[in-house]
Amino acid sequence: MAKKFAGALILGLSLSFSAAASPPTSPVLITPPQPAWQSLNNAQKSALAPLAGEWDQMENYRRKKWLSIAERYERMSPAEQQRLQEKMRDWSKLTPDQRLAAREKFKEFNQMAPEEKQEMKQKWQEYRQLKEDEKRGQ
Amino acid sequence: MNELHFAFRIRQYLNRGLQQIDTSQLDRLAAARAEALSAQKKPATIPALAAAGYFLDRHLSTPGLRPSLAVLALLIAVALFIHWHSSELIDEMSAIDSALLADDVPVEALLDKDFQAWLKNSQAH
Repeated sequence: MAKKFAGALILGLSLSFSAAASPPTSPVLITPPQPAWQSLNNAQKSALAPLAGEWDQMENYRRKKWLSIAERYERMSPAEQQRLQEKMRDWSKLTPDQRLAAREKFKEFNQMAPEEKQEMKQKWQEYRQLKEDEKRGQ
Repeated sequence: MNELHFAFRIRQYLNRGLQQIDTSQLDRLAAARAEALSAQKKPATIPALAAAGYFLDRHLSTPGLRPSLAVLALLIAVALFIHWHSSELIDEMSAIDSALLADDVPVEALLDKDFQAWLKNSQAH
């Protein structure tokens, strides 16, 4: 009995430490079961519509995150809502590492001055054009 | 008259005197007694936690049971911590993801390492 408890304790502690040490995308996150797509309310279904097809296969911690995003969605401007929905499906197809990298980059981006942000967006357009031209030249 | 007999006589006088007290005086005495009783300090009630502690102490003193309870309490604490920690991380992810996806910066621009290098290079010149 005591040995079993000790084993469970070691397991619990190791889980908690690994949860604390790992990046936010780690599947160690322990989340209670989240509702299936059919159980979502109309507002949640409307906000998360692009994810309808994959929702029921999604891990609980990701469902919980998207439900929290759906709450924020209601307070966004129509333009922000549209951008969010357009990017939603592609975002959920990224690997956890890619999402983590994008979040880190976005944190840096968010700290830039507005004109620097604008410059980076313009440069991205330039860069894409350059790449297109390179492809056409080959 | 010896001493015992003297005491007996005193008792007789006192008992007779008791029977001769009139009702108004008896009522005043009864009221004073009632008042004194109501002012008497009430015994303190045992606080719930102390009572629970006493109960556990009395009933869970089996050898081996106390360490198991301590381990169980620790496990519950660890589980609560993991749950709280997970919720914190999920809230953090939700805040960043919603800001990132609602922003007009393309996700590809954030992920493209060649672009990041090109950008640094172009800014250096």
